[in-house]
Amino acid sequence: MKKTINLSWYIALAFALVLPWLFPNDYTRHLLVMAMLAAVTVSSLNLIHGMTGQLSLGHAAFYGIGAYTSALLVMRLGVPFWLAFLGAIALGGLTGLLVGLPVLHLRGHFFAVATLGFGEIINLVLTNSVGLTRGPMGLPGIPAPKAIGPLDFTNRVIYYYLVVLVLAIVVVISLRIQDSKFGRALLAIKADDVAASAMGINVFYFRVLAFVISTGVAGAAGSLYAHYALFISPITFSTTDSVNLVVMLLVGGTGSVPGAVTGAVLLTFLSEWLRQVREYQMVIYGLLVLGVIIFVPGGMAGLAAKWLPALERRLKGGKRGDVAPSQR
Amino acid sequence: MVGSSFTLNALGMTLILGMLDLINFAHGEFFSLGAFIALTLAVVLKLPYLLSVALAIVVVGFIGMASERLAFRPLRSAPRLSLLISSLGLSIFLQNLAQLIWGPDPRDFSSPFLKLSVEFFGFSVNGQRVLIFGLALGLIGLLYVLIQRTDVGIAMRACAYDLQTASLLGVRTDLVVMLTFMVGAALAAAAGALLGPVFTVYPTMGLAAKMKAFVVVVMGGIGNISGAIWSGFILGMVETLAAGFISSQYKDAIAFIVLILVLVFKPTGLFVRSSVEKV
Amino acid sequence: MRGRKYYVHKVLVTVVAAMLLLTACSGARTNSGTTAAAGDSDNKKPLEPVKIGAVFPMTGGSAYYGQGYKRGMDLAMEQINKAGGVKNHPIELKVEDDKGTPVEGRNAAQKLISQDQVLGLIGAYNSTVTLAIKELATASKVVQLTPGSTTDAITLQASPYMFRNININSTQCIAMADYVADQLKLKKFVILADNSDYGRDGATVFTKEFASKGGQVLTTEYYKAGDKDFYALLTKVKSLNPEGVLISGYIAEGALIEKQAKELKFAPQFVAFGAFTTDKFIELAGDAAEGMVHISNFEPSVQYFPEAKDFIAAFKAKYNNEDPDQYGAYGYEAIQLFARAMELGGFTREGLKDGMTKIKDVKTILGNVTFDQNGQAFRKLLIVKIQGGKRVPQAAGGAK
Repeated sequence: MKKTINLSWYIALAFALVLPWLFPNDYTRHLLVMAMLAAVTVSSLNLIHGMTGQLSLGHAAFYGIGAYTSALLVMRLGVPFWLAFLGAIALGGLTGLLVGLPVLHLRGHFFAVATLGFGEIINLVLTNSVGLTRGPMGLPGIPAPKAIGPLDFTNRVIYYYLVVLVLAIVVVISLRIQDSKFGRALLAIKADDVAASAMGINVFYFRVLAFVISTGVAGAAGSLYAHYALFISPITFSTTDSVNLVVMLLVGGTGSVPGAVTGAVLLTFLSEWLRQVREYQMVIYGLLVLGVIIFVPGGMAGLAAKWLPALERRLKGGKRGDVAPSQR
Repeated sequence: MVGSSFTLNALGMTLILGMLDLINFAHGEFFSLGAFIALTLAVVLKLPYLLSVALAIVVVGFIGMASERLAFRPLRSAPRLSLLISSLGLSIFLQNLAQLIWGPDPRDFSSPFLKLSVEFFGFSVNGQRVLIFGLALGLIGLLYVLIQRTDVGIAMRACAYDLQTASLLGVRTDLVVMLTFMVGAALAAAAGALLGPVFTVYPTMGLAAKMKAFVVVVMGGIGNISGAIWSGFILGMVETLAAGFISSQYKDAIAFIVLILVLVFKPTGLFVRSSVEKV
Repeated sequence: MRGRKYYVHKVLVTVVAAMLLLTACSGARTNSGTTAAAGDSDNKKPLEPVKIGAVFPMTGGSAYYGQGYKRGMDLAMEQINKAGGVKNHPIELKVEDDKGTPVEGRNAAQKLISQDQVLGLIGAYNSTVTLAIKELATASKVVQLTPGSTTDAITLQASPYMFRNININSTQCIAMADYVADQLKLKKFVILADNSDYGRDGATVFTKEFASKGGQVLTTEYYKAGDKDFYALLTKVKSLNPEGVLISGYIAEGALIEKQAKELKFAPQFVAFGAFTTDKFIELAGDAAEGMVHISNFEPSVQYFPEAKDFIAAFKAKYNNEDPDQYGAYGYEAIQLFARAMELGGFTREGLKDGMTKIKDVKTILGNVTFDQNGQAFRKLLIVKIQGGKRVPQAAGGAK
């Protein structure tokens, strides 16, 4: 059968697992957690944009719904974290369904604007429902997940592994979807929705399904964020953040699962690394984003597709010979 | 009054969107640059207010042209979304550059028209607002003439309709696109420079402006000039009424609900007769 | 569509390479960054600098305030170091930008704690950022002192590592409500509140206290930071005929509200809280600000702040003859307090914490500071009225 998960993914996973030990510094470890969280969220955005071509400009709102659902379930109802985590996925997906149903038949900019609008509305609801969410004052004192035996989730490395586990699951799901009938239907829709529907593909159904999965994953990421940061407030889930997710996806290379992960990790570290230049930080960041998109329009994934085969040829397959032969 | 400012800003955006199919996220920065440059000219060089506004419009027009050349031209054949990200990068860059140059604090920008008070049926309105309204109408009229009556306008419309065909027909598309950017940026700058004295001027002032412009553009129908004009005024009224009579907390939500309803029931925008979706 | 799996493989190699590069870059300075100051020994080496971290908005919407704190902190550091440091240790101040958001604030604080190995943190300005950092600072056992965030929750939900040298919202809101009801004898108010932690907190406390004094809040309306046109809101409010309007928010919108009210010939008694204590407000609002009453946490006036005399002179000398405002003054005091705490407790993180808890009647440029068991100090505050383009103190409240 198809080998969806090939060796290089295992190498990447192994690498991700040793990373915190290569950098035994809490700051780098914290950024690793943040990068992996971003990777989960950007992967969820890739599920809708990369696969169906629909651009969501309100994805941070679903991330926020996940964060608030999970935090409130744990704090107000005493639900265990793991159940609340599932609740966050469910509510994220449900909101995705409610938002998606009326607007998923829209295309291009229209869908983008509609999701932007929903993102703003959801954010306003989070801000104004003071009784439930404490509104703009934010929700402090969210508990970390309870320890399971030796797994103490207040430990950054352990939490990092939890996020990596979730990311791995999301990556596997994304790759499986890509290789399934569902994924090919999505790609057909992305290429030409009129033709796809002529071929008997229920365009709307598939789009809704993809969007619900995508928002559910965003909800999961939100839950993980809430119980890591231990404090959430609506400004973390604003349109600016949605737009930032889109930047990460496009810099990584939309439509590519590894691209989404790369973009998230790359930009998380890049923007932190640029702290050194102080007030020039965002000026340079903006220029770099411009540069990447002008000189590498396909993002990192496009770059890799262009350069690596050449590199590979030069190295003559060499050490990684087991992957290449099956490819054209 | 609010409507006319929405409209000016949105017109520039819809021009660019219609032409390149680009949601220009840097549009809000053209708006704030317009305000900052006019302010600098008026306060530091002590130029008269109206002259500063005119100069700011010209300068930002050229900035718009330059940014098209540097940030968007190389991407003409790339996927549309690359353009979007390019505009985001440009927006982050320009906004933070403005902060580096002018500092983060809000500034006051005074105009001689602020002191004038005009009476309208018992309402008193200051002269600046009347000026904004008048100039906005004037600029809209000018734009209309430019697009409908001149050769450049015909070329612009041809390019907006189909860039490639226009190019085959001998239209110098590069030049036309650049001109469109210039006009679009200049309109945003006009909005910024005119609104500066009514409001305060600070580096992130463009953020809200561009979101609103975006909504107006889509409501009016992408690339549809008269649609943008009308929806600009309508959105201004909806917001005003929502804040005044329904709930100030959910004022913005109401604007977006109107937007979504428009999209759901009339996805090509409010003011399009044919239902051909240009996507 | 050629060879997707092949291509996945390539991309993954890039991922790994990119991650290695970036983590290497950000981790590179870790080891060299640790100084003896952070160690647990008592540090016999003289002249080893002590690192203090500060997290403030240096860019973004609230950057104006962040820059103000930085000026005060820079001046304090300069003066202490010129005088030989704290027990011969010069202070090294590391300022990081939080852009006014909790996520960036937490990243910045984590960098200061783990990489720069600072002894303690000063910051932040926005309450949500302060609360986000508080979770981290407490877990990392690092002292955090905020000279700017006023939401009550910061020190109400006590943490042994959280301190605050500025009055909480309740203190200033109650003082204002009392002044309005008792001194100005106004009974009917409308609140225009920024839809943020600061704005909402202020509106809630004011409403409660004002009601207990027999006053009535007719309605509370919210606006968003960045809103510019208040004609609709003001027209609605005007029709209610309030005697006064409380602006529970910041100066950018506050100035617009008063200017536009004046254009609409709507002239209630405007009142506001401490965020209006800056000359910038008077510059922005112009003559529309005349007659407004607000809380001030600091005035460059020797009459009310006699201890600040030298500070005011030094500040003017360093910064183009500008008068210091509340932000510069509280930033300066934060450094003073840390310096004193290190003298009392020693040059370790725990020592700094112990030192902070020992701070009793410590003299600073703003009077005497004592932290209660929650780490909260009770401070002097003034009620000022804008007259002739100047803030004129009307009454004093808070600590004596």
